[in-house]
Amino acid sequence: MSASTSRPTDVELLDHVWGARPGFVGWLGQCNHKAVGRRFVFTSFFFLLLGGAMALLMRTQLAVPDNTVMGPDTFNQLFTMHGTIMMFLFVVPMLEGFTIYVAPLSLGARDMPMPRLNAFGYWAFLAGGVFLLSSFVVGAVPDSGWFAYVPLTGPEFAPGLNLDFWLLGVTMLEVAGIVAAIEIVTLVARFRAPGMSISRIPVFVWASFVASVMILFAFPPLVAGTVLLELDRKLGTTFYNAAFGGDPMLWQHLFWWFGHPEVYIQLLPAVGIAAAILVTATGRRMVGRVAVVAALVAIAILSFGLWVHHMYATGIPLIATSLFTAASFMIAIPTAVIIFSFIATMWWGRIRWYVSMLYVVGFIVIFVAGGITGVMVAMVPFNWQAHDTYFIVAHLHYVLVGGSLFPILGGLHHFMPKLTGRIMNESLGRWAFALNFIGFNAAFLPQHWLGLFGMTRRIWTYEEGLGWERLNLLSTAGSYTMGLGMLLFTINMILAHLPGGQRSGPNPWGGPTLEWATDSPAPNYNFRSTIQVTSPEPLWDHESRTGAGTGDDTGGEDPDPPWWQRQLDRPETGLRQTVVTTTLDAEPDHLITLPGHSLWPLWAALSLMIALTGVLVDFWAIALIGTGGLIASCAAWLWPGVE
Amino acid sequence: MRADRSRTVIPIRERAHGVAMGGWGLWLTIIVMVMFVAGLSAAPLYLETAQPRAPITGEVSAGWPPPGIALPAMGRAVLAIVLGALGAGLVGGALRAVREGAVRLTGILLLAGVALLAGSVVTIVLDIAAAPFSYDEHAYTSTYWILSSIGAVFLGTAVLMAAAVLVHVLTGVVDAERHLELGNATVYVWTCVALTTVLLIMVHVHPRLVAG
Repeated sequence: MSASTSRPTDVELLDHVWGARPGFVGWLGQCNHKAVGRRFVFTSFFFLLLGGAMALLMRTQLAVPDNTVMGPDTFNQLFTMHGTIMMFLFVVPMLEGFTIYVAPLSLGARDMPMPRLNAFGYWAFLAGGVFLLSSFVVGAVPDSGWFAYVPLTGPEFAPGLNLDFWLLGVTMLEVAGIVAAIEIVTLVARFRAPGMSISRIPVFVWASFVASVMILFAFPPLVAGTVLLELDRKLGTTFYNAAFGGDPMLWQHLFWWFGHPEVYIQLLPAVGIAAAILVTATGRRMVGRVAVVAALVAIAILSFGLWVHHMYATGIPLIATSLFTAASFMIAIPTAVIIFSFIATMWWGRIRWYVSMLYVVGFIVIFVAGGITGVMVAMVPFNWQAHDTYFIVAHLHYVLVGGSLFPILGGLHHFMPKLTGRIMNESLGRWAFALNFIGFNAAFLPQHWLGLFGMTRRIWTYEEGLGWERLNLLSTAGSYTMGLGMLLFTINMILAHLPGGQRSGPNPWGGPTLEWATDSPAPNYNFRSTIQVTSPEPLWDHESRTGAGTGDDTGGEDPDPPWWQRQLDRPETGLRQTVVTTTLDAEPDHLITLPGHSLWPLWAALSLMIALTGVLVDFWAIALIGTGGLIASCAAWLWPGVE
Repeated sequence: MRADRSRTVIPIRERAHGVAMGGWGLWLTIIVMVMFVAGLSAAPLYLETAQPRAPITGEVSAGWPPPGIALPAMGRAVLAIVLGALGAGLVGGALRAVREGAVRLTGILLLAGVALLAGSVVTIVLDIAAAPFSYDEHAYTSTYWILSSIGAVFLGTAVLMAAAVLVHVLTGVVDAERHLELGNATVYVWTCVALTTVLLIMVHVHPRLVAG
């Protein structure tokens, strides 16, 4: 309450209505996009460190010939879990976390459209991660690669629970990814600030939107594939068993139907983050902004026509490989549009070399190199030579580390003020970047030659005298250098959040989009007054109202707001209301009420985990209890009364 | 589906425009379901295409299904689809009734719809149980058991969805103006019936077509 009056001020009232309930239960029941987004980001960062540590162990084993740090079984488990963690537990959840936290702020919204579904997505992600990692506790770690090729993963060649952990855990993670995608698409379609027509949506949000649409089309076939494989393993069905009319190739088609778009699902939001950093750091609008958005859409469409280029060595008919080669070449065109647009923006801007900008440059250099080797492996004759060698390992790491990890690390520097209100140290950040950039290239550049010299993937050791010794040692030294860089990055992140860490104002980098108009970290209610967007960079123009309520000409309050804005600014009903706008022009259309605290998403995710655990251990009563719990949680979730 | 049918919507203009939040969520969920069924349907299509064209030695037999595995009768599958369609029609009828303000009739139609949809689920389960083969004899028999079962699961979720809306009707939160959940449930139930039909066609009609 205000000291001078018995009525709470608008801000106090907003804070009360949009705030979390007190205590641990209140913390658990938070569904607000900021709580969920932060949880996604920091949990997936933990998984990044875990996956990175596994990579270091593998490189230690491969540092010298005939090394005995670990046996082949442990090596198999490490490369499987490294790939699985990076693909399913780090990159996609991290990017969804960024989107869930930042996109509502960039769009001028007060929350995600379905907050409880949002919370369920996080709990399902966490449950999937715990489920997968619990395989270490029981000594049944998945060991057949992150792609789980049949028949190696069938009941005959992979007895035990190892692959069941993988199949069930990945299914849960896919469900988490799908619900987050549904949220993000709906958010972008209807939760934009008045005036933010589709031509004014920030590039980062566009990229996340496109990737989310891709998830809706790419993830379900993998769920279908994993369900069929788990049935082969548990019940003895024969979908992938050639002896009974099945076909192992069915798995590869279903997997890569998901797997190749997945590469771009990991790339596009990261490109969006890089674009947000780039525009801020150069202080100018994105060159060819519309072309960049069109390129994002083109990449999304083309990416669904490329999956067979992972299968050239499987005996696919030559005419089919020719078609997929052509499609693989085509995707270089929209990718080049984005890269040239980035370079032109830097060319015409005045670059401020924040650490985040260094990571963007690192992204361009490394990703272009990965793209060029991508064109090489898209050619069938070369692919047949390089298939399953370290050349492919090098290529995919150049694409994914350059295309996803570097923008994410830059994004953590860039968005940390908004996430937590703290700024990471720039000097430490530069050292970490230098170690990461040099370490990465030292680790993976030699692997191209290793592959060409015949070193195959997934081997746990090699004999002396094959000519691989020096390159492997260099690669291991590089990986340790990068490990040091990541350690420094983590220390920097921790130091920033200790009591003496640097605090941030609303817009420490001079960013142009709406997330920088509000406090750092964003308050419970995000914005407290009228937003009216008139350009893609509302904080740089002189006409947009940015919801900051600062009282100045450009970002201030509307002196005579409409009735609905007054209702949103002073929610005396105690309801979490927000404005919904039309899809194309973002004209204010109606107000809706959003739910707040709820534990049902947590119970639903826990029930799902219990059900899958029952399936894992062949204890069908537990599976039924979990299914019953899931149905009961959903029933309670849907029970009337939210409004 | 329309935003102005939602209880939580307060129009800013004369009436709310476009699809409601729940409608967006539903349509996107339908995309996910369709892609899931596409992935499942790829199994019989791909496996049948990959079968040897002529009998060969060893355990693998040509054909889809191979000689010795009799195709199950289609009667119960047709009955299940008819029951499902009738159930979905009754849920749609409930939507029409609520628009006209007949809340009691809405409840009755929904209850009947739930019963018919549940009957459809039971029919599919009986159909699977009566199959003249086990799920582990051949990829076709696996396909038959699993795709039919997943069809039953789809219809089972439709039953739950319609029952949840029935609770809303019985608790009095649905009226002639605000009945978005019933509109969404109608679309969802019809989608489930359609997807189940596709899955049943894949296991009943597709083998007969490729057999000439």
